[in-house]
Amino acid sequence: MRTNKKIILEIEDLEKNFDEFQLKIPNLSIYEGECVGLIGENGAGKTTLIKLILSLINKDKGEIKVFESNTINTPIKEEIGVVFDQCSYSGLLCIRELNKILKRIYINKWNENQFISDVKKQGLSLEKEISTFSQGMKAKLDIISAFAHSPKLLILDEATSNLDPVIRREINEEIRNYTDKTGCTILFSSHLVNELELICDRIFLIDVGSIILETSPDELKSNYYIANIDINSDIPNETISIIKKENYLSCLMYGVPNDIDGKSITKGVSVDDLMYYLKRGVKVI
Amino acid sequence: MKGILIRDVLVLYKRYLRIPVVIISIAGLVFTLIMGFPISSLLSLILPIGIGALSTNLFAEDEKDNWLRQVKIMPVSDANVVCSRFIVFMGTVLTSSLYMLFLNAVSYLVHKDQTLTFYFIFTAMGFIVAVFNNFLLLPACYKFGAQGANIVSIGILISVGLLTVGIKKINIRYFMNIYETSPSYTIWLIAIVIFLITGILSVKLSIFFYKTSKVQ
Repeated sequence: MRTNKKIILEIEDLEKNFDEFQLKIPNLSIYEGECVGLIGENGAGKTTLIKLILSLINKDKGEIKVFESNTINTPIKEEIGVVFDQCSYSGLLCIRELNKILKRIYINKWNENQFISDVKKQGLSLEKEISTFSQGMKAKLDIISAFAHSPKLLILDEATSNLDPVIRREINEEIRNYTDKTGCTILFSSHLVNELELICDRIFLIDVGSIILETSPDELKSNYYIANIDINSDIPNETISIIKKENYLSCLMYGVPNDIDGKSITKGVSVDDLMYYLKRGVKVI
Repeated sequence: MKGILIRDVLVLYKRYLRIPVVIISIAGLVFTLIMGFPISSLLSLILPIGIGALSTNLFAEDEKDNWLRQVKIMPVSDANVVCSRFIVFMGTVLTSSLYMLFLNAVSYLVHKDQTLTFYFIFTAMGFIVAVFNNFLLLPACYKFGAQGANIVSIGILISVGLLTVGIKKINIRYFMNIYETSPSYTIWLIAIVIFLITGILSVKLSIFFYKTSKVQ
């Protein structure tokens, strides 16, 4: 099913080296209409990967294709919407002025009516300076601005990480509604993993510059287990990672577990659990 | 390019030029009316450079907002981003020089202590110095951010020092002879060529520094 869809973003043998950090992505493809989450701790390499995709920094090796193009030129930039963790519009401007600016930048694509209507729907003032807005209002403005030029690829880099849970949920719902309505492809990076479970079709777990796991929320629910087994028992074949507790072993497992001489089995894990076991546990396979 | 230009003008105007411009305009007019040529000539040299220096704060504003990261993902070419800033900087110099032209005309009409041409020579000098100052400032700011203005000031001081040493060592008469014996159009031609080369170099360097600038 996925292979029939158009590839929007394709990465092959990507490498970027810093003094004390290396990002290495052998391959990653994102298909049209997908919502893909990049999760990982702060400093895992999520923002570096996004900067590389957007050509904000140069790669050392490999290939990145966005809309089948190796370079992010002006027509391709028109098709990409990006929302960062902080609003980059000057606080001295008001939304009416921002609209004048952005409609002259996204000349062919800016939907002024949609922008103004979304701004009003979110209760944002057109006349007040952006500096008077709260963090949540600024994040909403960023998202509305990104939607207003109808991007085919929307990249969100920790876009909702600084927000309170209520605003975060509202924004996530807006994003999900937008993708359902338009078929826009989304790459969403966050260290707040639970929000990605709600909106993403696929999730990539990134750690110390490498993708260590690719999964989906459905797969997490149906194929992953946590089993607490006796400390002296044999390790089951399905075990991925083990964390030693005081008098038992807690195992993250993949697949249908066979008979386990243990205390308890929990079917389905959260992305939080997955990150915890993969980061802190001893990997078995 | 228009969008970037509007953003720069609005930010510059709202943050830095609104109040200072009103104060300087009124104070300049009042003092010129009272004192005539000494003030209008001094302002002709200082005001365009001063307004140019104020404009470098746009780079500080960019750093504060992380605007560079935003603008680099927008569908605008690097050349357009840099050229709009050149237009803004040159626009401020031109506006302040036009205002000085007006003040010098007022001063001439009220005091008549010099010829009108003499008044306007100072306006022209102020304009040319401010334009060349911007040619230095912009690449420096694209390379070093708002700190670029300080680096240019230090650079100018060092150049003046070296020039002073140079004047002592070389025979200035040699250059004066060339100046006196050359037809006036040659001097103008040389001046225009120097102006164009400096301008093109400044834009090219600015685009290069902008392209290679690091995004936070």
